Amino acid sequence: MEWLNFFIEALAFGATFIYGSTGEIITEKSGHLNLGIPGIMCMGGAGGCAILNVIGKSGMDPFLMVAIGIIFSFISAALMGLIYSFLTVTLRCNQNVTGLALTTFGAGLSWTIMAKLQQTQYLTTPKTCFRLPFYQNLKMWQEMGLSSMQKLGIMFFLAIIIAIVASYVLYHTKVGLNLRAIGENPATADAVGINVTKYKYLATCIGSGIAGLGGLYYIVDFAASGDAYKSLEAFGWLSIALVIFALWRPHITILGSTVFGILFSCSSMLANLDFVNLTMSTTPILRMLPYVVTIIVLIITSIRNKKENQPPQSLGLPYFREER
Amino acid sequence: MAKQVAVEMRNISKHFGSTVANHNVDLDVYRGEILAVLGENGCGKTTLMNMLAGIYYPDEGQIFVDGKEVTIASPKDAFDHGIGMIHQHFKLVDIFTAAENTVLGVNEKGKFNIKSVNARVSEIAEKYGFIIDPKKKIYDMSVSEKQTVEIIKVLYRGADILILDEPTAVLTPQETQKLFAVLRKMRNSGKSIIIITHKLHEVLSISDRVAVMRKGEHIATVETANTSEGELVEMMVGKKVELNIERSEPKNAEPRLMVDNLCSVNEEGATVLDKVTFTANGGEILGIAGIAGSGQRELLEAIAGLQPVTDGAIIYNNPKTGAEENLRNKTPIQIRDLGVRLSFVPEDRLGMGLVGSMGIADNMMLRSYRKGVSVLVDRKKPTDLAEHIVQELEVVTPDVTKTPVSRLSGGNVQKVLVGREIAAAPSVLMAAYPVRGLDINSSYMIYNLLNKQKENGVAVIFVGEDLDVLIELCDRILVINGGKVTGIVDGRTAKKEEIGFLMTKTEGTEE
Repeated sequence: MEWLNFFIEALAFGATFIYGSTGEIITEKSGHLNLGIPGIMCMGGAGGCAILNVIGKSGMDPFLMVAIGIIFSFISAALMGLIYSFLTVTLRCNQNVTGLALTTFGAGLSWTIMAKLQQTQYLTTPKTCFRLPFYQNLKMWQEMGLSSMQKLGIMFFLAIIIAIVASYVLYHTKVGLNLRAIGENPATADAVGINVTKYKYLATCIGSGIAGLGGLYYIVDFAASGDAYKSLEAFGWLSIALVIFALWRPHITILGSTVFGILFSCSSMLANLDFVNLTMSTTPILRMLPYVVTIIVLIITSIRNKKENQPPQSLGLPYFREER
Repeated sequence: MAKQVAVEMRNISKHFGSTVANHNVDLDVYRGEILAVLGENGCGKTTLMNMLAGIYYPDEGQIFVDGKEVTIASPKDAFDHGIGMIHQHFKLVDIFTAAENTVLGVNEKGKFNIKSVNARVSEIAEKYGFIIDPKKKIYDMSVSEKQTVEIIKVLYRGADILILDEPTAVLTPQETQKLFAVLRKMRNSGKSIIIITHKLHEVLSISDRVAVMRKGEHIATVETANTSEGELVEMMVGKKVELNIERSEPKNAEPRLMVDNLCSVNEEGATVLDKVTFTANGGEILGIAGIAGSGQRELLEAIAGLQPVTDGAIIYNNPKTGAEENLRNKTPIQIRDLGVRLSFVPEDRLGMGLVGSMGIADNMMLRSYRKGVSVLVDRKKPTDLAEHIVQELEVVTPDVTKTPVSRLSGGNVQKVLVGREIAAAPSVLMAAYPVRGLDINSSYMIYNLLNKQKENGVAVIFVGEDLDVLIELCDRILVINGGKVTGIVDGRTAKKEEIGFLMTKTEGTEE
């Protein structure tokens, strides 16, 4: 049971990365490397928490409260995406610089906002709403020894659905074909009459919005603590690494995020075991594991050199029609 | 003229900064005809057609389709009016299949179903006589297959005005013939075809009418049947061009480079060079003829130290010391310092040799930055050299330091590349397709440059694709087929048929 609990916990933890990576994949497929994802996830969390802070104790219908939280979180993150796309698509700024600036900005702003909010307002009641399906029968699960089941809330399942739908859209629909073409070769897409700018804006904003939900999920649902927002930025970077692990396919992020979740929390897991003695210095080393795995995946895919598993060809390059 | 006008362009002008690309151009295209747009490099043919295809927007002028004035602001507008363009640089997504590339950007009602697209692609291919597998990925395709996908892409959208930008530049003669057969079929089914080219014999063999352009202006449109090669050249260049290439007798020819039983395999393990043996003499131009991909590129790269050699020797006779050295054991830099220069002009001109985003002077520096003891680079000499090349070779550029070479036209880029290698005073100069894509004047300038090198005692190795040029320019011609030398002939006495025979000679026909 111990191990199963640990696995479920890792699964729930991983949903944070599913949001972040799926959002980043959608953005990257349009040819934009959005390094602002950590900041955007912070802002998604802060935006959602800000609205929950207002409605948290109003006693409204739980589903409505969850929906409003999610919508606001999505919008605040998408607004960050809008800033990013305006700078990189319209003004053709350097994508890396813009993204890094946005991460610094988003993280800072979210800390300022979060410091002003009341934990009891945005966490206490909303948490139970977000964990609706299993939380109600908490007793039963605890008796079965699977207390971690309560961690699988509404937004966990939403993450899985979003990842699968995103994969379907990208690889089985016209819109996905167009979007992938833009990321590979925007001049080609433009020449066949696809509105490159529109797609880039939409992909960046929707992708950012989805990534932002990861922030809300982590703060309100998974961690459910007043300090949770402080570690979000790190998870943003992990999400970007996961994109490489998932070979730019959203549905693989479900697997990847679980692996990342396990690797990331294995230090705390090991600490609970009696026969393992963890020193202060081993924990950070164990936390490096997800990045080590990412590097290994990167090496393997580079060696196999299968064209379908490479990043979008024009990733990071600005597109200007009349440029020769 | 009973024929129906499909497209009319009136007083079209387009400027890029201070450069005039098109000035008051008029052009008519009829239904069911093949119109050739002929002109030198950089005369504005492609720009003009890009305006029809919605890539550029004209500064002035009007475009009429079927008699109605239209605005073509984007490629989508062009498609809506039935105009489709096949660009010189293919616009295809590498990791997509032929069918996926075809359907890209088409707004069809109903659910997206790749199977029905595959079927329709096959149907179009059958109708006009293409051979294509709709499920094949682009990165697995040859150049000619990619071009087929481009054409099908346009036909799939129901275009009845097709613009082809230099479609034969990358094709072998056989592929060109196939393409022309398809184009004729399309014309006969009532489509208008515009073909941009600077190859005269193709104009004469395929087109119904020819529109000649010069320096951004439309000179005249003539019926192909009523014109001659000479007349077209005159209209194209504006002045008489000497058609004979000068060829001096080799003086003091002495063996400079002796290649002995050279063998090489490529990454896939296939043999690309098979016991190649020849001698290149100083003061002589050695031509290399062969069907595209017969090992010409590999041979030159092997000599330059860029292609791994499995067997054989490359003996270099150093004119300074008289010593014989085997280049096989040397690094590319050592080989270069010995004076063996490779002026490789790849299919993508900017891919190898020049950095597109840098100015001419900075590109000169790529070859010289190692010289000198100072840690700082010397900008003066490269700039002087750049100015010298610009002046000597009549490179058209706003300036030598600021304008990136990617902004120059193809011919000018090539002049910069060849000019730089020659400036290094080589003892062996290897030039692969140095005139590919160049207009007549620029080509002659390159021939003269090579001749000058020959007179200076340089061993010139010239890989060419035009047999007439090889026969007129080279002292000896080495024919290569499938990585094997099939013969070495004298350029003065060789017949075209003889070389053609050697180019296609396979093992079965060998004595």
